[in-house]
Amino acid sequence: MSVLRRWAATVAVLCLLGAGGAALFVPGLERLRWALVIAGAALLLLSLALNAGQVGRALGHRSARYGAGLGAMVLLALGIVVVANALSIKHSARWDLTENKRHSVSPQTIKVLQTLKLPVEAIAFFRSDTPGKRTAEDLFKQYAAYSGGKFTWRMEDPDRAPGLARRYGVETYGTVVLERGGKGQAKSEKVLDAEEEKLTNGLVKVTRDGKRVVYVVKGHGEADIASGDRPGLSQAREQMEKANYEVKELVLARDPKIPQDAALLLVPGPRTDLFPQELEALDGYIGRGGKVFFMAAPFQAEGLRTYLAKYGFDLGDDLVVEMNPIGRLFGVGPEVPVVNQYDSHPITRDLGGVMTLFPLTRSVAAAKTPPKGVQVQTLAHSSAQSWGETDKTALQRGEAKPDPQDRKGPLPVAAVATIETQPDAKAGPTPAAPTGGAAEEPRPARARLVVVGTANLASNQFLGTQGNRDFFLNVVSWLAEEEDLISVRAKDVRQIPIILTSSQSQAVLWLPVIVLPGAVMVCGIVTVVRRRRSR
Amino acid sequence: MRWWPVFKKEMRLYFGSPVAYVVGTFFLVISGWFFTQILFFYNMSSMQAAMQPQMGQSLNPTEAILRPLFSNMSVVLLFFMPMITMRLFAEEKRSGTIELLLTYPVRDGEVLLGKFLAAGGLYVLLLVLTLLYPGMVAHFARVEWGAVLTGYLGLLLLGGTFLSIGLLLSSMTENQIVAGFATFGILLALWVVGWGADFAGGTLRTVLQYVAITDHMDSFSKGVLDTKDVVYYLTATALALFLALRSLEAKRWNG
Repeated sequence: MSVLRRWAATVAVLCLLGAGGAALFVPGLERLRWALVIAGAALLLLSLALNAGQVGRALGHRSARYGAGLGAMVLLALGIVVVANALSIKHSARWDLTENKRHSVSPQTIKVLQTLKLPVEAIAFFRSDTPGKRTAEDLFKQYAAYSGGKFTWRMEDPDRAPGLARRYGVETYGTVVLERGGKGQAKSEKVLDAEEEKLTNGLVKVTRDGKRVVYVVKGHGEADIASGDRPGLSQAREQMEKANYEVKELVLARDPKIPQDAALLLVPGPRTDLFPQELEALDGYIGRGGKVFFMAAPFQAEGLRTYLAKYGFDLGDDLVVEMNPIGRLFGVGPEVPVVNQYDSHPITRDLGGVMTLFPLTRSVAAAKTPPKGVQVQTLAHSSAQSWGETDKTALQRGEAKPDPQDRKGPLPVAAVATIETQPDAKAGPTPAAPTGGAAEEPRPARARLVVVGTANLASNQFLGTQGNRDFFLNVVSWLAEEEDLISVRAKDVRQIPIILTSSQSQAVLWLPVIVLPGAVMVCGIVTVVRRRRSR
Repeated sequence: MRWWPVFKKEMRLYFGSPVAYVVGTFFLVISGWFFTQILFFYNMSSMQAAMQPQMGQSLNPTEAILRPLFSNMSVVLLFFMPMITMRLFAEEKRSGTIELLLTYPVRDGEVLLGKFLAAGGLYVLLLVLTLLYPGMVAHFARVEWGAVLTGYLGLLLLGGTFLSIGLLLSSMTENQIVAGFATFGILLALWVVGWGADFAGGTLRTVLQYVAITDHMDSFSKGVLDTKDVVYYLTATALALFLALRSLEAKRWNG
């Protein structure tokens, strides 16, 4: 009995410590942990019962009373600290004091995170020396902070967890797998670089079902989505596919019907007029709430001009010539207007002050009196130093100059229309509606049209310049009613090299390592010597 | 204002003896060495980038010089702070002057505050001397002063927490070595506890990550000011000071 009396408390504490240790460092072992906790508690009670006399005497002691009071105060203080910290996590404010706010995610990303409906876990496969690991961690932390617990993340070393890497088909370091939780709805999406835009779009994709199809009209000399040449659209296609669209060609002349699964239709600058039955098919599609992106280049396929007039667009019979010298900065001539004035619209809202290039464009204005049920507005304008050249022969001679009959800049070069359609359209169901993870409310079918005056906006030659890619993708996602897919300009970390001359190198070595500490040391020696002397 | 005499006395002790100078000299030598090495490495990367621009390295002084500098300096502090604080109460306890101090017409809180501010004053002086590093960077390239500001604010708050923990440990023992080593041990534990987070799961992981001191310093050193990091350091400092105060009081009734 005396052995028990003496050792019960110690063993109890060891049991409890063991349980805590197991919980911390050995995952699983739930049963063992609970067994240890129960054994510890039982032994503690036993020890108290056996040593009742001693315990009672100790409690009666003055210092025990103080001790109890002290314990209570300490617990209270701890509680306050925990609550204060918990509150500060919930309601924190954050200021990014770097010049380009490179440690802050964009408002679009925050919106996506705040509206996450399903939990998403990011598994990032990084080795400790993979470049970009720290940037990725910075991003994940912010994502987690904005998601209200819906977004979680963990780092895995693909060399240490080869099974996991194989399960997700990870082949390169730096791959991030976004996995959607929720019962029976597991779905994952691989992102190859941990950059904000890719991660956020990955999030949007992983929380959504199905792919959306973009049909690209073909047959009248349009830009080719398969072509990698300068006027081709292969990069635009790549970008759309990255944004989880499926891009298909559609030869309307052969089969004048627009497929049911079309999220939107792209008409990339036909050179010859569309046939009447093709236009009819377009009318039918628009009539049941279709979405069409027209690229109507100047001086070609003039039938489109009269066709679009009935949807409230006023296409100019001109070529916009730009005299603003800013284009020279990008190495483009007067035939490539530089656009930096945008009207307020979801498509242009996130572009900020980024410029876009509209090569060989005509003016596209909103009709002064649009037809009934059509709301039309302009999107973008050329500069004040531009004009709309109407003299085709002068242009061919290369001697364009602003004539009195030419319209003066700024000229609109892109416009957008929303068309209310009859909800009882007999043409069948509305085209594929987006599904954002949960059921969408039925909404009245509204057709959306965007017209730009150039066939080159998204061509391989120009897609990568300035804001063209963002503008193009914003148009596509707005048309597809996917305003949640975002396009964020990478925050460029400015390149500021420091190249030291040899005398500067000497200074860098001497000043901080020898001179500054040396000065402190000399001060110390002087002080000590003075004190010795004064004694 | 009765903490002032205590503050003055401690400052005299620091600067009248070799303590402040020795700590200062070695702190500056080591921090300066880190700075020099980081800057030389940056210089080398710049030259490589100049020769092979297509490599596309990110060369930003804030990211590549100041951020690692601040985190290295905070590791250096881990070693130096216990040496600044270990003497504060332990020495008085050993020599018995604590009895005198506690019977003076000065409240325990004021004694504590005086000693804390004295240690803090020494630390701030050291930090001011390290302004040489961002100054030198600014001489060679454009520096984002906002990030420098948050970095120093972070070092200040972090240092405050370290000092208060050191003070607490010093108030609990009469052996300076014990106080110093215990402080170092606790600070180190607070440092490495986050590493365990990777192996833990659920709430425990979140808690471990939050308790780890490193994570909170990181956002300061990259130029981000987040209220939750400020709250973390301030509450940790306040808690340690509160416990130190209780420990001083316990001395009265516990003998």
